[in-house]
Amino acid sequence: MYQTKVNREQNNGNTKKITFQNLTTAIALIFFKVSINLYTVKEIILFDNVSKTYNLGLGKKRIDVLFEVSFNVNEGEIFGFVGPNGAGKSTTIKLMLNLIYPDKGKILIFGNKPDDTERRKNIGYLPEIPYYFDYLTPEELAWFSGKIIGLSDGEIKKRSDELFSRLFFEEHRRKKIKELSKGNAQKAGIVATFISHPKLLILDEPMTGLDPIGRKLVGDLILEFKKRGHTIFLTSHILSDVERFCDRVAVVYQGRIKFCDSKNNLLKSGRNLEEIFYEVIGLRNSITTSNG
Amino acid sequence: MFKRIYPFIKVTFLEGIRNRVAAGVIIFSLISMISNLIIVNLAAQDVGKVAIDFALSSFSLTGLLLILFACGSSLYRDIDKKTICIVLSKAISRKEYILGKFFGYFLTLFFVSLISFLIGILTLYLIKITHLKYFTAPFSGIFLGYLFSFIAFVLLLSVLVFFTSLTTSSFTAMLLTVVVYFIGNSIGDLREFAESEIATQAGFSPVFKIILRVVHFVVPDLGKFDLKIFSANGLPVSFDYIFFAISYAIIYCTILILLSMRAFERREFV
Repeated sequence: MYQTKVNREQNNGNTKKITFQNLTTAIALIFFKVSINLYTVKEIILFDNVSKTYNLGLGKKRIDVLFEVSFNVNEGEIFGFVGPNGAGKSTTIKLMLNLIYPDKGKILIFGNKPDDTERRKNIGYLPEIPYYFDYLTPEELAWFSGKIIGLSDGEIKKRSDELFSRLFFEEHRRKKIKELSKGNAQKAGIVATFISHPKLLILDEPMTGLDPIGRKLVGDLILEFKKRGHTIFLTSHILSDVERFCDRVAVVYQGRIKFCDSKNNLLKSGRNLEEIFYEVIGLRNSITTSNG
Repeated sequence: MFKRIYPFIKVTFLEGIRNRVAAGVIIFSLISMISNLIIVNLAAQDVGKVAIDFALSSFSLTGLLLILFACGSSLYRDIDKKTICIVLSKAISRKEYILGKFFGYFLTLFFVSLISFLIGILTLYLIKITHLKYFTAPFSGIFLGYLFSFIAFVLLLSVLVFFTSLTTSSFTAMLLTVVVYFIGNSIGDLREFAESEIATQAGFSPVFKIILRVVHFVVPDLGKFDLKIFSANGLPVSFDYIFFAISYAIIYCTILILLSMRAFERREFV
């Protein structure tokens, strides 16, 4: 009685019979898989025991930059990566972008090795120093970034118009980048980075050279992309920015991750990022002493 | 693949032609052709020969300047100022980067060379109509001279791209390219001389002959593409020679670009 035989399709004369029991099992399985997917946090970036040494050429010394660094960045979160100059932040980013190779350890971006060119369509990288093509205009730079990932000219125009307008950058969009100030060149880079709506944004000091208005506008853009579910890896020396934007923070010092926790836990502990930062680099006591 | 690197080829081309060096090279072409108009008046009965020789020589210099200072300086900015990191962070593989750069510069070279060629050919035409009696060389030979000079530029460009993929400093790459330019222009003649009867009679060292052979094999024989004597004297160039030289250039460029791709794959951008 319970078995309802349904002829779904005939293929090469064979009749496929799906029983009611099988159907319910299949539905349950699908439901289970969907639930698992919903509750499984996707790792967008994974660093597993990564070490890196720079060899500065024949007869020159080797510099150890990263030591067994491990961390992960989950889908939809803003991950802050802070540390003093020379701590290994830029090296970490270069490893993610396959510009350099690790000596030891495993790096996965979207579950694949960083040399997967096709996956880089989903990555937007904003460098700290805005060295773009000197003779291009911000508009052409945006076109280049959009075209590389296969956007149509119409879509590029639509998205770049919106971004230029949001950053109050319209009057500079047809000037050569080499004629722009550092802050405006940074804005050109921001448009070129965000135009592709990348799933992963790697922002290396995104506020460098920007005036307070620019910082506010870029901050809004970062938060908007987070709301839309994009993952952001952010390095900054402005600790208040990191505290404001990030869900989780890691402090790197002398090539090692010294601290990595969520902002909520940080707040619960009653301390702020600045305190932890100075503690990690061993400046806490001297600062306390100097403050009396 | 070309659909993906097309935007990169386009921006490389735009960078190349907007570079002040490109404008400078075109101005240089104009000045040298005006000089040509003046100099030929001193050449008596050899007006045609002198004018063609001068035009092709200045065209060659134009190419060298453009490769070194427009393409070379662009590569300098890319590598030394880390613009390359921005390009490679996008969906462009390292192989595609090399191809994109090569074809972008190729287009730049083609564009500027075309303008220099037009200036040169117009000047030669003016000289011909004013000195009809002493300008006997056919224009087909002059066209071939320009075409072969352009092929030599492309060869030299592939040399620059190759050295850029190997060295950590773009200045070193430019310097090595200049060295190859000078060796490449004379190696064919040197080897021919070393293997001649006169050299043997003069007691030319066999070791030196072997060294010259090896260098001739490794360094591009740019002298093959110097047709100034043929063009200026209106001498015919055989089809076999043209076919062999063009095939040589294509094979040499292809090998260098493939080697550049290979070398670039292993490179780290610290």
